[in-house]
Amino acid sequence: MADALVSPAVGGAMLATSAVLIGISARNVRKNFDNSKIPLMGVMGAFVFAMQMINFTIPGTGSSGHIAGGVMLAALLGSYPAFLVLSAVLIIQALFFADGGLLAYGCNVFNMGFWSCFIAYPLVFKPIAKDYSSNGRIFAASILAGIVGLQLGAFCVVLETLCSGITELPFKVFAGLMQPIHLAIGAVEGVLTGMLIVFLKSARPELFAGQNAAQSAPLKLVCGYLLLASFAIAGALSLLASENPDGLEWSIFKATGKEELSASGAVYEFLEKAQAKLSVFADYAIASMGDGALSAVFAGLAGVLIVAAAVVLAARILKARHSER
Amino acid sequence: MRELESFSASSPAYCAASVKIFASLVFIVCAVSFGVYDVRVVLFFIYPFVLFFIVRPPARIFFTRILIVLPFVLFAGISNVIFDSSRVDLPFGIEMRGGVVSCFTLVCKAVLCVGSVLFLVLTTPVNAIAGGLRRFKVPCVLVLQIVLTLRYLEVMLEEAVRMNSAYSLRAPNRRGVHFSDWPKIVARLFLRSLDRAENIYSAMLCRGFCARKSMDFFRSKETAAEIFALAAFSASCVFLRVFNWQFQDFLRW
Repeated sequence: MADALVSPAVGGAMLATSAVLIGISARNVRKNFDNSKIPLMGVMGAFVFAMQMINFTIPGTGSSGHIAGGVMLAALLGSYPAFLVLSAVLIIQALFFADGGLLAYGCNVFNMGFWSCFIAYPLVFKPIAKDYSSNGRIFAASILAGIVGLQLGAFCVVLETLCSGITELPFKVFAGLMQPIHLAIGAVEGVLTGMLIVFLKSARPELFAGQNAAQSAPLKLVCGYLLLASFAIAGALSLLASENPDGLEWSIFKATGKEELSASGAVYEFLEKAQAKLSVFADYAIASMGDGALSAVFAGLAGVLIVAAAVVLAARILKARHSER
Repeated sequence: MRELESFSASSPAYCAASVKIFASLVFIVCAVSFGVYDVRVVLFFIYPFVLFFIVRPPARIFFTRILIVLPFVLFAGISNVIFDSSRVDLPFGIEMRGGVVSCFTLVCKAVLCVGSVLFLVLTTPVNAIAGGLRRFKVPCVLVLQIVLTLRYLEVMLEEAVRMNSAYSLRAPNRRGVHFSDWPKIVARLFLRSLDRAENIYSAMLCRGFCARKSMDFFRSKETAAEIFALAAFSASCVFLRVFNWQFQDFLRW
C-alpha cells in the first residue's frame, strides 16, 4: 500500500498498532534471542526483500501482489524476530525503493507481518509441521499457512483502503480482485517456503536445532494481539464507519422499500421490548453520551471487552468441565 | 541503491536526520489529508519544487522512483473514474466528473509522498537515518536489522554476480540461467550469502562491535535553530492545509 491510498486516521491507527507490536517483539528478542542468529536474520531479510521485489499491480486496487515471506521468516527465526525482520524490510522498501510509504508503513507491517508471524505461523504452521521431521508435513504446513497469512493480510488491505475512503471500488469488487490473486500468491509462497525449509534442513540442520524452543508467540499472546487489533478497529476505525445501510439492509431496502422488516405478534412485541431494555449500546452509542464520536468509540471498546470477557468465561467453563471428565 | 547512497554521502546534511524524518511525516500527513475532490493539494508542490532547486537531485533517479509508484496509483484512480460519476465544481467555474478529479488528486498525493521520502534519503546517509530512528526511540534491534539487511543485500548481490559469472563460464553457449538450474542456484546463493554474512558478523564482533553503541553513534542532537525551522515548516504545512484557499485569491494577488 502506498501513502496516497490511506487516510491519516487509518494510517495513524495502524502505525500506532504496529509500533506496539514492534516494541513487544524487540523486547522479546532482546531478552531471549540467540545473537548468533543475527547474520541469519540479515540474510533472511535480504532474501525476502529480493523476493518481494517481484511484484505486480492488481488492477483497480492500487495495491501490488507479491510474496510476504512472513511464514518463511517465522519458520526459521520464530515469530518475534520474523516480525522485526519483516518490519526492517518494509521500511527499507519504503525509504529507498519508493515502495509503500511512511504513513502506510503501519498498515503494511500489520498486513504482512502480524497475520503471518503471529497468526498463521503459531496457529497453522506449527501444529501441522510439528518437529519438521516429515517433508510432506512441512509442505502442507507452508502452503496452508502461506494462504491463511496472505488471505487475512489482503482482506485487511481491502478494509483499510475502503475505510480511508480513497477508492470508489465497491467492497465486493475490491475483495473479489484481492482475495483470489492472493490465494494463488499464498500457494506459491507456501511452496517456496517449503522448498527452502526442506533444503536448509538437509544442508544446515543446525539452524533447526531447538526449533521447538524457538520464539513463537504463545497462544495467550496471540490472543492478546488479537485483542489489541480489535481495540484499534473498534476504537479508531469505527469512527470511519459508513452511516449508509449495510449490504443486507440495502438489499432489503431495494426489495421492500424499507431498511428494516417489521413483524407483528405477541412474541415479537415481547422480544422487541426486551431488546430495547437490554440494549445498552443501541446503534453503537452509549445512551447517556449521545450520538457523538466519543460515544461510538466507548461503545466499540466496551463491546470488545464484553465479547472478550464472554469468550474467556466460556473457555474457562469448558476447560473446567473437560478437566472434571 | 548505490547511486542514492553516493549522492546522500556527498550531499550536505542541511539538518539533523530526526528533524528531516519528522518533517517528512508532517508533510505526508498534511498532503494525504486533503479530500478526494480537493484540488488544493497542488499547493503542496511548492515544497518539492523549492527543494528540487536546493538539493539538485539527479533527475533520472528522482523521476524513475516516482514512475515506479504511478502504475499502482493510476490503477486505483482509474477505478474511481469508472465508478464515480458525480459532478464536482472546481475553481474558475469548471465542472468535472468526480472520478477524474479524485484520480488527479490521488496521483498528486502519491507524487508528493514519494517525493518527500526521496528528498529524505537523498540528503541523509543510511547511518544517519538509523541514528534519526534511534532518536525516536525505535528499538535498537530493529535499527540494527535495517542497517544489516541493507549491507547484506549488497553481499547477496555480489555473490549473485559471482555465481552468474561462474555459470556463464561453465555454460558459454547458454543465454541466461536455465529454468531447471534456478532452484539449485538460489539455494547455493542463500547458503553462500549466509556464510559470508556470518563471517562478516564474526569479524565485527572481533573488532568490538556493540549494536547499541554503534547505532547511537550516529544519533545527532537537534539544535535550537533546527527545532525552530521544523516548527516553522510544520506550521506552514498545517496552515496551507487548514486555511481555505481559493484559487481565485491567487489571481487577485
